[in-house]
Amino acid sequence: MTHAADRRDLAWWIDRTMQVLVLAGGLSAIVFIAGIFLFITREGAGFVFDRFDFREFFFSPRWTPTSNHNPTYGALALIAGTASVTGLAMVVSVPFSLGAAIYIGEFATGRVRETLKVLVELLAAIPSVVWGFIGLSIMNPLIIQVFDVPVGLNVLNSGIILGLMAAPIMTTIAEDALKAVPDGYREAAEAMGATRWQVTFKVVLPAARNGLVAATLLGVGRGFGETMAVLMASGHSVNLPTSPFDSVRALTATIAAELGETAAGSDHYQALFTLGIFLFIVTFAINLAADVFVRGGRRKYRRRGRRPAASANP
Amino acid sequence: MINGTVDIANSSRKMKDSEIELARGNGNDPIEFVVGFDALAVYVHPDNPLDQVSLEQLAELYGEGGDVDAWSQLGVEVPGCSSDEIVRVSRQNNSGTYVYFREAVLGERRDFRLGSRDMHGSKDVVDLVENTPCAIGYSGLAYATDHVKMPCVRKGEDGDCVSPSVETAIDGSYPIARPLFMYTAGEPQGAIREYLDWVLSDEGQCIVYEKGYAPRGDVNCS
Repeated sequence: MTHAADRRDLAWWIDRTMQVLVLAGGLSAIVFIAGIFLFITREGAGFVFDRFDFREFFFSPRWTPTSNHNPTYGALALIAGTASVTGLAMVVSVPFSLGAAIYIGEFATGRVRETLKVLVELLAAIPSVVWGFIGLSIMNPLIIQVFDVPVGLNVLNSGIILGLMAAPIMTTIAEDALKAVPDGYREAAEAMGATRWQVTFKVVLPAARNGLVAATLLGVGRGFGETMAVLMASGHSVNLPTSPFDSVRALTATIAAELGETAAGSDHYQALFTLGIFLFIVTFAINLAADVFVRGGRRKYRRRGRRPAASANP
Repeated sequence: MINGTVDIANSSRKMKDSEIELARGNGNDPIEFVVGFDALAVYVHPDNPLDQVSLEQLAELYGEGGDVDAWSQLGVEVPGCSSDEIVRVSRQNNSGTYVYFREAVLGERRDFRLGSRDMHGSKDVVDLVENTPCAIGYSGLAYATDHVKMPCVRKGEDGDCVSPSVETAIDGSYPIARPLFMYTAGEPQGAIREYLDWVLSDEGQCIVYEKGYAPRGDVNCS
């Protein structure tokens, strides 16, 4: 080996190829997200620049894009619809999924824990159209009977359905957040004589706060973006809700219901893409906020909790 | 059809001139064929005692500025609907059924009143009405089931009240019946020509009849 050895053997090439492939995989996310944003912006641009009326879009509940003589594009009722359904969904799913996460993460052991984790993940595997079907054919008559209201396709129905749909992802992320709290915290609290519940409630939950907020925000993002189930269970009615028993219409459901039969390039088509841009920006902001919270949480442990472990293993 | 993805397309409303222009701009020239007629039935829950409804009542119920909101205004009391509120079931705003109903019942210049439950399919309308005592909806006659009731429809206060059926759609006495179209991209040729010929043949038209639609002309199906 007088010359510098040529190390470009098979393993080297595989290593190089894999690096490039993995890099492409990582970058593709950026490419896709930028591509999608460019696409919906391009399709919606005509409306945004020519026809867009800020006051009408955000403050008028009149969504009548196919009117013969006076098409209006007020999205207020749609925004209120999405917000009310998502809000109710959070009321349903936050206690449910936090409870599940605390039980799985802090109390359950062994088999019970593993079974529960699998079951919660299975809940996430139910297709949204099946949820919508449950809303349409089971919850609708049930709500009419129980509450004696005229129709059961309303905020309550879709909120419950959406809450159940968002619960699995929120449970999984909340449980991860609890798991990320260093055991040293729990041990220290137990050494001071705290009960299991005191440890959980006074020490673990506050320490995991950021992760739990992130879990909730991701649930909100899920609620904002969900389409099929909301389309089927909400009643799909342009309406400013004043009670949980009012039918509403969501932004996503409007796009899903109308885009398929709208002439490409028409005002209506572009207005639907404008709704898409709005949805994209809102969900993007929510996910970004969730990410910031998760990072905030991690940094905290690194600073305080994990230092002994880190120094023990330099 | 406008985007040029398909060779043949079904539609329950005429293409607008502007849409034909758009299609021509993309290099296809849509040719129209009437393949049958469809009566739009008004559906209510089977427990609903409503036997007849006038076009004017429907217009005040569905139209913008209309003042019919309660079943008592139509002179009935609906069992299982203690709130008396009429739950209006409609279709999404670009379906052919929606557009035709607007034309035939509300008139050219009037819009639908917002706040109806806008279903995504003809069958969904019937499904919802079936499960909702307070509801009223409109949908193609072919979607009728044993679990819904179809009141007869009359024009004006003293007009004859006509029940929706294939026969009344054929003879034109039912007031809300519409033509159903197929559009081909350019003059149909080859397999598409054969398919259309079959649809328009006695055999095809008899299937149209059996499914609850009205054929385009006299056919003898037995």
